[in-house]
Order: sequence, then C-alpha cells, then structure tokens
Amino acid sequence: MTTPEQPADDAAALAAIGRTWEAFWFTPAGSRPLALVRMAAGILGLLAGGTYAQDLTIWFGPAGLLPVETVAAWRAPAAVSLFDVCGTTTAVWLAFSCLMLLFGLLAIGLLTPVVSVLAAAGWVSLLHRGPMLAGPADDCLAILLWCVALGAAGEHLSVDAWLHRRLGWAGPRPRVRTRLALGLLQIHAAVIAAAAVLAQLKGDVWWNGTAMWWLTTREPGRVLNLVEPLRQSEYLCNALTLGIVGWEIVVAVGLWFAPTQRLVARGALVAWPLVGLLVAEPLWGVVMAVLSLPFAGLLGRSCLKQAG
Amino acid sequence: MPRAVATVLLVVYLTGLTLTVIGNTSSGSALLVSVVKGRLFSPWMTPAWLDLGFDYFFTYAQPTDAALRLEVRPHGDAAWQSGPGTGATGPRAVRWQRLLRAMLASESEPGREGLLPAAVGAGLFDWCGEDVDLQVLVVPQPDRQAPEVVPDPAVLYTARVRRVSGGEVQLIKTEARREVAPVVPTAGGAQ
Repeated sequence: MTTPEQPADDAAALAAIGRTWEAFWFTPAGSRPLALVRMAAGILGLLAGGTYAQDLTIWFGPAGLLPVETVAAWRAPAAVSLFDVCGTTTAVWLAFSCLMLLFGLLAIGLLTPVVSVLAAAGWVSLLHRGPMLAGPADDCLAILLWCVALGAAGEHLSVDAWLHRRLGWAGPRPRVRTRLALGLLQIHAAVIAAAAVLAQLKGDVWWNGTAMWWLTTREPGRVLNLVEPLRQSEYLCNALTLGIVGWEIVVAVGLWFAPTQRLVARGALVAWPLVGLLVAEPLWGVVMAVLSLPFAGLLGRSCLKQAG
Repeated sequence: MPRAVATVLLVVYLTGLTLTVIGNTSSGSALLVSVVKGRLFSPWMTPAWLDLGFDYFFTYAQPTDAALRLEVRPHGDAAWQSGPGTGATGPRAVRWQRLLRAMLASESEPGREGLLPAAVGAGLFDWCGEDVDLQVLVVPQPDRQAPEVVPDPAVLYTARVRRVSGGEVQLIKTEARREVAPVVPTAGGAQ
C-alpha cells in the first residue's frame, strides 16, 4: 500500500544518492596525498621490477624459457605487451632499463603527467610478457600506477612542482581528476581486502586457524621463519590466522566511515606490511598500505572530509 | 556533460571490478558471470591489468600448495640436476614457484596443455643439449602435529623435450604408472 508521501520520499532518496555520488567522485580534491602515493609507487616499481632483473634474460631472452609465441598462446587474447617486440637480449634489457628509469622519474616527479602513463603502460607490458610470473604485488601495483596516472600526482613533492615555482607557472589547485584517482584508490583498498576475505573463508585452514602454519612452512619467498613459535603454540597460530582475516574485514568496512577512516588507514600503514611479511608477500603488503595512504591524513585533512 | 560521461565510465568500471571479484578463475564462477565478463569486460580490462581477481594463491594457504622444485637432465642420464631458479630467495623465488605452478596447472586447462613445459624444456637446450628430461617435484610440508616428520619430495610431472628434424620442439609427457588389473587370458575367449 502506497501513501501520497512515498513518491516524494523516493525522489528525495534518489536525490540523496545522487548528491553522495557527486560529492564522492566530483568534489575537486587537493593532490598532496596523491603525491605521496606517486613517490611510493615509483619506489615500489623499482623494487618489484628489481625482482625480474636477475632472471630477465633466462625468462624473456631470445633463447629464454618463455618465448613470445608461447606466452601469446598462453595469456588472455586481449593482453598485449610492448616487450613482445624485443627480439634480442639487448632489446629486452633496454626496454627493462627504460621502465626502471620511468619508475625513478615517477618517484622524483619529473614530467609526471607523461611519465606516470608510460610507467603504468610499461609495467603492465612487463607483466603481460610473463603473466605466469606475476602475483599479488604486481597486480595491485598496476592499479596503483593507473590511479597515479589519472590524478594530478606531480603537483606536490616533485621536481615538476619545483620547476613550476621557479618558472612562475600556475600552482597546484584542487581537481576533479585527483578526486577520481583518490576515490578509485579507496574503492580498491576496500575491494581487495574484501576479496581476500571471501577467498579465505572458502578454505578450512582459515576457519580452523592453521593457515599461518601452512604459509610459514612453505619456504620459497619466506621472510619470517615462525615455524618454531607456531609449533609450540597453537593459540599463536590461531591468533595470527584469524587476526589476518579480522584485519581485512576491518579495512573493507572501516575505510568507508569518517570516524574510523583515518584510524584504519593509519593502522594499514603498519598492519598491511606485517601481513605481507607473514604471508611471504612483503611487496604486496606495502602496496596495500600505499592504497590506504591518502586516507591516513598524514598531510592534513583526510580525503573523505575533503569530499564532504 | 563530462560528468555524465565520467559517471557512465565509473559505473561500467565498478561493474567490471565486481565481476572480477565474483568471477575469478581460481574459485570458478557461474557460467553467466564468466560469459558476461569474458565477452563484455575482459577485452578492455585485461590489457590494463592482470585481472587476477584479488583471489591470490596465498589466501588459500592449502596444505597441498607446497613448494615445487624443477629438475632437469640430458635425456638418458641417470642423475637429475637442479633446474634454474633453485637457489633463488625472496620475491625471486616466488616468481619461480609461480612458473612451476603454472606449468602444472596449465596441464588441465584446455588450449594450454603442454605449452609451458615444452617452452621451458626448449629453453634448457643450452644447458643440457637438445634432448632433455624435466620433472617437477612437490616438497610436502610437515604437519603441525608432527613437524619433525618431513615427507619425501614427490614427482608431480615428468616429460621429455627434444628438437626433432625441421627444428620443431617435441614434448613427450611421461604418464605416471598406474596399477592395472592383470590381463588373464581365457581359453577360447576373445583375444
């Protein structure tokens, strides 16, 4: 049964949703938090790219284990890689060195609008050259780089900003595209945490609290050796396992509410790297921390407050 | 007008992101989800990122997901040698593990079967000559109740890779021996 007031209520609800959407995505935002993300993304690019360096020739060289034809047949049909055209060892190294240079330029913020797009495209190209080698840190770093490319990430803490001041050009200003980049960072920070929880809740080991044991006793890539303490204390094993799941739930939910956003984001700067160490994915842990970085309010008001 | 366009793009992207999470390949997904995602979203999403579904290997932490090891030898040799990447540590070691895992996983994926083992074997021709045997072993993890009992590594995959006339690379997969019932000849029965 409907009442005369109901259509008006529906219209008001729709208008409220519209206003919230508008405020979240289209309120011009300052780019100082995104500058921090840009610097971190550049450094993370150097670190993640560095893990390819030692085996670059054996994987992607002309007589390597992963020839272009095999990878092209193996990967998704839509995937493409600029590295596919590198037919010699020199060309592979040249392309790789250019990518590392781009990450260096991104970290210092030189020619940021161009460099950020090239770095994102270059990184994705490297991943698609050998998708079977790529993992969580690589996947999430790609998202980070595209968000940096979308926003005005070079307006602060950069060589670009210094040059602009020296030349007397227009200074930084709040922009919608920066707000879009920050909004996407927030969405991904929460979605990735939620997706991890969903995946974990499908496995018995995350319910019975022994997942940490199986993660710790797998040696390749292990950073922390907790075998002995976990063997001695089942409670510790359970606490760490359930603690990881609990933390992911806290991030997936807590980033969306003004009272908890800053606290969760600041906690993320410590907790995600720790989780990364525990699960033998340290770079992934740092990338996850960087996704939450703009909301920690380290350089002033948090992004949610700016939007509101 | 630009905001309307941006809104449409955002809605499309967020829909794709949702499909990525609910349609990730590691856990399987509904046919409808995978078809919609594959036809409408993957062609433009995949080039920009890997689309791993944020459903990563470590989030499963299964006892069966133990460390893998690659061993190679020139065909006919008795002794196996450690393959490339054996001494790697840290993130580098993890990338080698992913490669070996992909080799095994792709054996049950239509269209990918044999691709990676053949390529990896051919890549080892410089090390072992143009006729090599390769095997992937799993190093089982000890149970928490009996951590001192470390099971022996077990062979999961064995193949011979060689270059045949015309330069083509041939993969000969070695099937594991299975127990079969003895054939009992019956008098007067069909042979």
